Amino acid sequence: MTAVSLEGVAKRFGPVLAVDGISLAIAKGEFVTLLGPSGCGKTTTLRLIAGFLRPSEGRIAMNGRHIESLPPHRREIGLVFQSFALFPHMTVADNVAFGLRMRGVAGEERRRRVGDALDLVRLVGLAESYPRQLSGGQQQRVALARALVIRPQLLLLDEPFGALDPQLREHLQQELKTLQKKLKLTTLFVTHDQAEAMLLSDRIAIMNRGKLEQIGWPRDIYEQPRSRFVAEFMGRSNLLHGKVTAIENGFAQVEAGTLTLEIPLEKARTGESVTLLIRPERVRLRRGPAVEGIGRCGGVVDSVFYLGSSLTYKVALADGTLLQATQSNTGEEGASGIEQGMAVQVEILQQACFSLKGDEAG
Amino acid sequence: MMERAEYRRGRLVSFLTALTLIFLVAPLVVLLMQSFTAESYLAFPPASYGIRWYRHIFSDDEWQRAILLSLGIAATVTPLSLGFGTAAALALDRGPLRGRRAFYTVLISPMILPGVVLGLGILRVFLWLDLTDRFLGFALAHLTITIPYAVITVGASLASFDRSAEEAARSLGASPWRAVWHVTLPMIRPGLVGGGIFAFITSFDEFIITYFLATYHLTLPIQIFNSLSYQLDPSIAAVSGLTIMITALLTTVLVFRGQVASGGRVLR
Repeated sequence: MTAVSLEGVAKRFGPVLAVDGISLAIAKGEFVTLLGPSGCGKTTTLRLIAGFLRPSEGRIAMNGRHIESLPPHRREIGLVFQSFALFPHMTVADNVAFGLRMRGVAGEERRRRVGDALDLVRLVGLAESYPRQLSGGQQQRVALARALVIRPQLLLLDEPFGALDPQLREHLQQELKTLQKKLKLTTLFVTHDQAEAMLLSDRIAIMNRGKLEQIGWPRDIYEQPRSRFVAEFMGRSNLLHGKVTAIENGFAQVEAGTLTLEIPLEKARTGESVTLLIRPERVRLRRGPAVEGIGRCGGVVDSVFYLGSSLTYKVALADGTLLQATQSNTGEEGASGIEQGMAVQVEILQQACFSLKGDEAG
Repeated sequence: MMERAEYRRGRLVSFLTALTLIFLVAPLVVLLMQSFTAESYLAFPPASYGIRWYRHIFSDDEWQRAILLSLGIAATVTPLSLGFGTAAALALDRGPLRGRRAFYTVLISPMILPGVVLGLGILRVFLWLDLTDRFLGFALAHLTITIPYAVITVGASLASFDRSAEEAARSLGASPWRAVWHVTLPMIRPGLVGGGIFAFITSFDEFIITYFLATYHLTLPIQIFNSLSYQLDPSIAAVSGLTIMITALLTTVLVFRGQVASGGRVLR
């Protein structure tokens, strides 16, 4: 069941096209994240859905009803901002009660629903405090309770954890996810943090320059990025340019500098140029002399970055290409013994490579 | 070496500040001390102290009328300036960009125009409208110079106001008016308090424009000015003392509130 749908939504600010024809459907109870760099139009999209902006083109519907011309206060949408946006002159309870007050819910029902909402975000004891007396995490929980108490048809969150420190952020992310599942909330989340997006989302929609680049499950977006932009935004990656030299049983042999790789490539033609994406965590390094072959070659460790749970190496191949490789810090021999200047064997597994089509490779 | 030069510069700055302060405040101190004289003549320092002259101005018909007129005008003008000023500041903040600067300039121009020019202009129009020498006329004339204060202070508060709180209110079901009433106005309260105090003081002290309009009905500043020419007894000092005290009191509130507001806390 579609809860929210955008059809060809565009927003123009003077000569600038901030949102460029976005179509997106969010199912009831689904958690979708709009992910992209700042200025990609994700916040504008959110503001179009919330009703603070009117689309220049296209349609927005909620539960099958068009809402482009509905003012924000009639849209039944809960909003959570990065800046918390609490009402500083009201107590926590009054903040949460605000939406009910505007709806004419009073007396015992209002008290009960405010209590329930505060219970949901575990802030019951702080009902009579003022926002300035709370920590950032508590303030954002109040904002969440305030948005949830009106039982919104859609919950919109605009980088809600951006102002919090990393540990607290992780904690609140988990809380949000738990709540969202429990209440089956239809949620649209905006962030520029790909790790956050992958942790929370059922589906991720990646935006770039006002356009949707790709939408899909976190796993698909990470492993089968459709463009160079998506590939690079979702995580570190090695991009290698190569040429298809042979095709056999649905596998293409690609020569990229010193490396020869065999990858599953449908519809490839011999002689075609391809761009290969290789995730660093799927490049294996081994000490010792190099054995040349398919997916294997030798290299020299150019630099080592110690990150605690993992180590990242930059390895220079014979043709000068710098290849990034990440190994988890298991403490085992072999992985930890690799140091700068060492000659190593580079091994790239078949399932580590994805090709980007020429025109999308950028 | 650097520290020493800096230290010396700091001493010089302190000295100059103190000198300026004395220059500005000394006349007020002298006047205040004289206003508390128990003698029947003006002298500095007074031979003896008392509140005789304060009692006098509150029992004297002429002074009483002037004080009440000035307080009445200021009390009328203050809420009106806040109402119009806030509406104008909101329009400037949210309205279309085109013509915004021109609108703003027109709104605050009475503050910049020489009082004599403004007073003469208002007199010409008010003669025609039969608004001279009347409470209504005084109040309207004062509004032209008090509204700009409200526009500026409320405008400054709005400029630093985080719109997302208002947007949160909208998403929670508040119509535009209710969002402004329940969220925006309480949050820009420091600006409202400041604008109100400025408006009150400005109206209470106003001399030039009112002087053009007044014939028989005299506001306090005009009454002080007029009485200078035929009597020089301590009642003038007492009236001036009263004006200083009211102004100082309001300014203190303003400074105190301003500090609280700039400390990031919101007033209740």
